Amino acid sequence: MNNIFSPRRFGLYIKQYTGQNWKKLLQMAGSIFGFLLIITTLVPLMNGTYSYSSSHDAFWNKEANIFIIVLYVMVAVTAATMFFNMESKSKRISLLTLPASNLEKFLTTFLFSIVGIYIVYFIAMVVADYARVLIAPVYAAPGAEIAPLPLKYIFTFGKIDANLELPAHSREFVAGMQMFVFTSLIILQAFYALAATIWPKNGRLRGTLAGICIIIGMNLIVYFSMKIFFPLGNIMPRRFDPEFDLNTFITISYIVAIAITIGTYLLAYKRFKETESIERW
Amino acid sequence: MLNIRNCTFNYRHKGEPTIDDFSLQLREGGVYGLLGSNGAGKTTLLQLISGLLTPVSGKVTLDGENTRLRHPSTLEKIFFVPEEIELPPLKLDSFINLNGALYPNFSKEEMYHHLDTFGLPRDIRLDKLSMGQKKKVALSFAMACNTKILLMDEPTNGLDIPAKSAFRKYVIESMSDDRIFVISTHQVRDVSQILDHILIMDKQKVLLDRTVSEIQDKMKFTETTDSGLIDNALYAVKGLGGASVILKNEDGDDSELNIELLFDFAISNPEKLNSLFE
Repeated sequence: MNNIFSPRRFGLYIKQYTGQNWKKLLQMAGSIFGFLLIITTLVPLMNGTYSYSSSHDAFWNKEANIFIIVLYVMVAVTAATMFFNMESKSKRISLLTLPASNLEKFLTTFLFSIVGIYIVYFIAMVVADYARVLIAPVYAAPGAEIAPLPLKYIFTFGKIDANLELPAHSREFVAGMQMFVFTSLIILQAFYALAATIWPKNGRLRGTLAGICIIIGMNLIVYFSMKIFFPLGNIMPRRFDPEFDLNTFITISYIVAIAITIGTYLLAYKRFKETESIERW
Repeated sequence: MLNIRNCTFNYRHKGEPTIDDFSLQLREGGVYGLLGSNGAGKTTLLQLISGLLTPVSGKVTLDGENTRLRHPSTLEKIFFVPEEIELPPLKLDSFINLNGALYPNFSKEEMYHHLDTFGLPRDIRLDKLSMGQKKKVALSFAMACNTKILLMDEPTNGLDIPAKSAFRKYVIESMSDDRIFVISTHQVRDVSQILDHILIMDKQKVLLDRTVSEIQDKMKFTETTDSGLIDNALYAVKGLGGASVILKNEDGDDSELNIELLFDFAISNPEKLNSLFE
């Protein structure tokens, strides 16, 4: 028998997981839908975004920023609660003693909470945006432009022109921002997933506190290292090459971020394999 | 065979180990009664066997496989029924279909048979059940999985009298030469008739590990008012109008095993008890 991964057994476990937790999963998806719906329908109303006529939809920029910020929050929260089916001792016993491998159990949770969130969020985002387009004309001033938010607008951080094209002078900025958002998102998600394996019940709070402590600690290390190694405050190398290759920097950043993310998930998987019926932390 | 080898385990907040250098072998074909005072480590032992806890040292193996690794090949052979049962918010049929498929020897017919014996209808929602009903569902499912090892922590807690009788009947009918049942309980009277091996634990150690026939071979359990017998008994507990005594069985007489008395004897004087078997 293959004790690491069996497609048949994996299928049975996914079926058991979805069949037993569908209400909770639906609840989580519903919360995301509801939250985005409220924001896209209420915020323009409260801000008076459509109280004057315009040549373009005045809410696009704000909406794009909101979608990105809320994505960060939802990704972190979903990752921090990915092991909701281990919150109590009885649930842990049930999960850990089910005849499926650790990899199958972890992979199932990963697919739903880490990968699935993006699919759910994308759909929720589109639905919430179209809801705004349907509702806004009710209170909008005559001549106010109301249109669905093009996805390209979000992915280019609002830098596209009226023809939905990305001007040449904005390409570097957009590439840099895309790298920053992608890398920070996947690292944040992986960090909270690791926190969830350590604290299945309190992953959000304890993960956030741990993250704050790590950030403060890293800043202190950098600060005191600078004091020790650069006492005069001069950190510039003697030969400074003004030719800075942004593409290379972006590529290296992607590679480093993906490596950190994979390493964090491997750590989370190792921690999951060590899970016991009691909480030791 | 289930082999527990030199296992030591302690919880984080306790300095003293709950189980210390503990060794035990459980062979197929036995219904083991695991007895001990509160905090003796019975539940800890069951969870170690199930792979739910990591021993500080030592190992638990089933047919040579380390149970702590929680490989599916091992998990398919072990079913652990904890004392407190939490069932998902599902209909019973859905629960059976989703979870039974993961156990290769699971039998739906047996599941329904046990439910009928316990007097539970089939169209029930698991989150609307009382504690006793949840225990019945959990036991029915555990029994229908037909795993090689069935570990039960206080299985008769919360069961009504007919259900206790049904449980005893199931154990007797289901026992075979290739299965091991371990019943951890304080309610010894509920299970005394079905046990064929007694394990008594106290202060991290095994005080007694003997079959019922070995115990009955060496000891006689009786009630008496004869003060001479009471004075010469291996162990005696005085009551109204007499005493419950344990005597050396020199004549090879048959007597019904009084597990509660045996337990008290084991706790009060384990050396004297074990010297009988040397």
